[in-house]
Amino acid sequence: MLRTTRLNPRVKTLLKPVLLASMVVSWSLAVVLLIAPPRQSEPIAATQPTIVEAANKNKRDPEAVKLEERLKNDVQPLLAKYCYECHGNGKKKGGVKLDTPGDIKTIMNTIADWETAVEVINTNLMPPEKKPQPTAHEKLTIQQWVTDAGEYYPADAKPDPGWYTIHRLNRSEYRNTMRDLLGIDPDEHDLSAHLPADDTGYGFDNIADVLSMSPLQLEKFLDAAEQAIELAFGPEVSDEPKPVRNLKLRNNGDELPSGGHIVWSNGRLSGEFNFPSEGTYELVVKARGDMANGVGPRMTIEVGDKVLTTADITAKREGEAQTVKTRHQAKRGKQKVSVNFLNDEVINKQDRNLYVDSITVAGPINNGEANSAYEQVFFMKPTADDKGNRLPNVEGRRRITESQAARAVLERFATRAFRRHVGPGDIAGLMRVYQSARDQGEGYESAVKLALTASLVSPNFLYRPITNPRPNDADYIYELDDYELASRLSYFLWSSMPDDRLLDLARAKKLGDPKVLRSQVKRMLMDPRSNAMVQNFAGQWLLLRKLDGLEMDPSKFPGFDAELREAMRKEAELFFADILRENRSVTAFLDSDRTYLNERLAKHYGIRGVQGENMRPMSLPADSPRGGVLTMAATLTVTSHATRTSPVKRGDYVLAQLIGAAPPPPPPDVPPLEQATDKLGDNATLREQLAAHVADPNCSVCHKRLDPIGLAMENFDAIGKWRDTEQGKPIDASGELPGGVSFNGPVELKTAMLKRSDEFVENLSKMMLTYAVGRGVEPFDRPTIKSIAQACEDDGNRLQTLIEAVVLSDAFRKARGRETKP
Amino acid sequence: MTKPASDPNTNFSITGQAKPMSRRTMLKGMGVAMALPMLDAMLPGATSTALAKSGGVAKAAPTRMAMVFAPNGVNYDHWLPTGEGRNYQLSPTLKPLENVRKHINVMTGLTLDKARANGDGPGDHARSAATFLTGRQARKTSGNDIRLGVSVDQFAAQQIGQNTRLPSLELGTEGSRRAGNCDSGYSCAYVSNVAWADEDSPVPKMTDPADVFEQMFGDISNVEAQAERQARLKRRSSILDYVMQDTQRLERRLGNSDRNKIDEFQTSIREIERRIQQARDGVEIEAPDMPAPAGIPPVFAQHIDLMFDMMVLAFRMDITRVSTFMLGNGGSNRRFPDLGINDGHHSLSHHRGKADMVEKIRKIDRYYVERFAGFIDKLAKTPDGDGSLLDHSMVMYGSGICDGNRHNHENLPIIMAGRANGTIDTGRLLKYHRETPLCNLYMSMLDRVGADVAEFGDATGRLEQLKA
Repeated sequence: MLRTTRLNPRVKTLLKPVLLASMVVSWSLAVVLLIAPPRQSEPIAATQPTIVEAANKNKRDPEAVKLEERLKNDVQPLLAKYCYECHGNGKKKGGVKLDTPGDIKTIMNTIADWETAVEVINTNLMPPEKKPQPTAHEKLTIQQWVTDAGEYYPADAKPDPGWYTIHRLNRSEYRNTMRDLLGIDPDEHDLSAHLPADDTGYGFDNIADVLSMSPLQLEKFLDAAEQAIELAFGPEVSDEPKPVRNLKLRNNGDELPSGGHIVWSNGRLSGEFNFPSEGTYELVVKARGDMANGVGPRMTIEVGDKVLTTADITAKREGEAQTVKTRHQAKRGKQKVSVNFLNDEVINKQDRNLYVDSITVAGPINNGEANSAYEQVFFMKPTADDKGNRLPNVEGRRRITESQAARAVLERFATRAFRRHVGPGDIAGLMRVYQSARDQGEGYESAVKLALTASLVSPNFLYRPITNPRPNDADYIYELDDYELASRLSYFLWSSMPDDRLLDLARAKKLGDPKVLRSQVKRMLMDPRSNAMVQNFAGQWLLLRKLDGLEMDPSKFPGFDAELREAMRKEAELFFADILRENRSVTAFLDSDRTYLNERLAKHYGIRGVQGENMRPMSLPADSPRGGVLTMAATLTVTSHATRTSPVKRGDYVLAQLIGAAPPPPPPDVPPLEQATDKLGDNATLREQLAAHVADPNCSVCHKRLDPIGLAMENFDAIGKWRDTEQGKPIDASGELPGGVSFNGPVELKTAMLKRSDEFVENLSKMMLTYAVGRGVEPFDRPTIKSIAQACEDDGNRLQTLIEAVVLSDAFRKARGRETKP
Repeated sequence: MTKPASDPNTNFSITGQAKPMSRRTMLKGMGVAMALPMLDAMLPGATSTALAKSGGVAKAAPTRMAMVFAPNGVNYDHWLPTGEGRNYQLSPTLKPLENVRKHINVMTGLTLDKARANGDGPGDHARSAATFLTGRQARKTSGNDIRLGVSVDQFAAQQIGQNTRLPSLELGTEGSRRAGNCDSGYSCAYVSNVAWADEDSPVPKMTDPADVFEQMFGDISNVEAQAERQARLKRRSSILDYVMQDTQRLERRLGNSDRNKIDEFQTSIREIERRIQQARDGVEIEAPDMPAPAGIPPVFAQHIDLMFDMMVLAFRMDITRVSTFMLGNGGSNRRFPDLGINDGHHSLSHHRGKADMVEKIRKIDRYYVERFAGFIDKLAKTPDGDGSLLDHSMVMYGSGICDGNRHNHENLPIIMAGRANGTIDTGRLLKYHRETPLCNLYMSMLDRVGADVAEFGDATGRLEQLKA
């Protein structure tokens, strides 16, 4: 049976890591890249057709052709050598016959048998002990082919949307959602600060299958919810100032029977005060003094180490206390509050002393009413209690009971918090929380606030559920409803909740219309909230997050500091944002004549005439090797070691992040380069060291592909500065690639990549899809990725078009159930 | 003249405080079942096995267990002591343990067979961490289908954890992950977690001492009055009731594929409900007598020490009786600038006999042992009932790899400290037959904390010689 049906039934058993999945999608792409024609020459294909080009002529799926070729050229000769004696040429010992036809149809139909064969070979059951044994490398050749064949999925098959796993908000989504839901500025109060770090899968930290929950995590969500409601609505302002308790004297003094204190030598009287939330507080000190020479005590009022005010006390001990007031912008939590006596002295037997009757704190001041989130959420105020009696001091004619008001408030809030229409069941649950708090004697607002807090711990808030009418049916494909789609869209483009516009469209069921979706994508990308794509998508795709706190060996790179590091990051972010917002061609990522620089970074690049800290768009000088992400300092730095460049990492960056053809990670037994090259001595260039490294057949299989690409960038040191020599020898940035193609230096490498920009577009499509749907790409996504890439290429490779194509794809708008795991 | 100030921050110490465990602490720690007339819980005598079996009425300090994981194996030449039994000589690497020598046993011959490839190819570092406390072969995957098994600490916590505020405490210095490829096709979950609640649930660890402290005592920068605290707990209960019901409503709309996500969520709700209930039932939480840590100290040694301090505190105040600590993740490539070592630990471990690298590895081995020795010393100096905390603890230190250069998993470097309420005799070099499963030791440890165990990992029985 030809597996052109949607579902690859073996995916569930294989569930192989993304690595293998990406290998199969991209292996041939890498090969294509590596045999890219040299610059300015005729395409190699003109004289020497590659497999891929040959395949295109016949309009056959190049992946299929490649698998057939590998079977014929690499695998069957080994089978003939070791297996056919019993399992081929007409013999089928034990009912096993391995010389089956080599067409893709047969391969797919017999894949289960192939997998069994590999198992048998790998566990040394076959060939029999006395027969010649395949080498490790030969076994690997067979195994890789079977793995790749098993993951093959025809490019022209009907798109499979894949499954949806309920998606927990990750840290940045949580932070942004709190910003948009409650108006809490994340720069001031990062509510996600205490949430555990999110795991990363498939290169991103928004993968639903990977985002987990633990008691610790939930407890932090609970803390954050309480804090958010407090921040947004504040505690009810207490009119009564609270005393600072447990006052302690730092120096000579005494407690007075009245409860106050006398301070009789210079020093502090301090206590702690627990500021219930961030805000402005009023501190009031009542004090009196013994005068010396007619001058009363001088004192300061301090919170923590900060002096808020200085006051001279003129009120005499016998009289009425003097009141000193001051204000303080406090953070939430306990802080030391003190009064400091400054001018103790005895003059003419008159001893100056300070008497402190009380220290009180009131507030926070105006932290409720003035708040727009407050007005928005508590949009309806009760005018009567639940028995219908009018509440005192309340304006408004209409009779609204407390329960009615609470219900209205909670319904409106939950619609936004749950990002969907809320039903009676949703409201009933929240009303129970409200009511039980009321029953326990809590005030109206604090009971509502408790219910609001509860809604922020609900799975309907913390997760993005999607209702599947037939959840366990892997063959039933359904469309996301409008609300679900609105959320998917907003979390993709904004890493945050849908705004009112999107929710309105969802309510009106307009989002199913591709035209509406397209225009929403445009609108949303122009909104500043789409900076989340820069931070989260570009930050992970281009590995910019690796710059966080990155340190280089200061003895080797004294010029590297936080300022330069930030400029590097900004350059890449602004560059991405520019391509995104200006809807430019994504090939600009490979090469571009413009970038963003400030003085520091321009100097680093050896470009003159840029002054000041601000990053600004710049055209690069014609002779500059820079342009595109490959030659950005950010890229070159995150792909280096702390002490030196790493052509291997740089090669891997090109293959994994840009082309999508990463080789597998090295086994841990592989010694670091330094040890493999001990005999070379200390003055060997990296190229010389790598050459020794590649001589080892265990290493060369991957490093033949990795190193030449990285070596082409050797003119850039480990922090991306241009250099002409290494270890006193001139840099040799040339490379000879499998297939006999050679190039020299980063410019030629970029040219080679530009000529094959279709692989890059396809990989970017894959990355974008992964990020958009929060799911690792599976073999069945291949048709979807192909069509996204095609749509993008058809429109001049524009980035917004690529994003639109992702949004319009079945994988984004539809879903199906998932095969249950064994 | 200055009167002595009473600054609450000056009178703390991890070890030196002579404050006896208060009755309130006891009640809180033991839970409702133990809320009997005052037990003289600090007297010596029976082991906690007896404690558990006698239904809680027994005169013993609880036995605590801790397991400390060191990454990348050791340089075995410098690790292995010479001599026999009580008359053995500490090796250069173990020299820092001189002070506490009488409190420890050094063990040889123990093996983690399931950390070997057994047909799964490379990935020894992932397996060394994964198998370390589970004794199980990790399914080789970097996808979502991780499979391992319950670890010894969690096995214990599942049986005795309900007696304390926290069932167990997981500590580390490098973050935990649940996914991604960390070692030759092994999930990061294997590399970064030694504690596993069941076969596919790693228990993530905390790396910031401030978080650990908060986990144990709540946010004490915000200490409320008793009434306020009770009111807050009540509000939280009400929230969680709602969340649980909401989750059940949601569950009906979801399919099997979301089942484990919902399970995870519900388990978390229940655990927090349990903690809240405990806090509501119990008497007021004993305030810790040390200030909350400010965060991760910049110097690695201080970071480790502070994490160990958290463990001492947790044991001393009976907040938990089970803890693990990963000094580094499997295959950790940490640099040690305070030793003047700028190469990564893992890179160095593959020294191929090169003298300067071997020397660096020995330095690192010793560095970790030094930190551990400091911890044991603190336990020994912390009063606990009739004796010291160490008298009532058993702390294992070791690696899942013997020699980092060879990636072998037999003859592991293992140290056991503490007398476990008089059930272990210390001060000896204990040699076991090659290939003795490390899990045999775990069986013996589980007995001692009062956990019922019939089989564990690849254990073939209990470990002998623990009593002389």
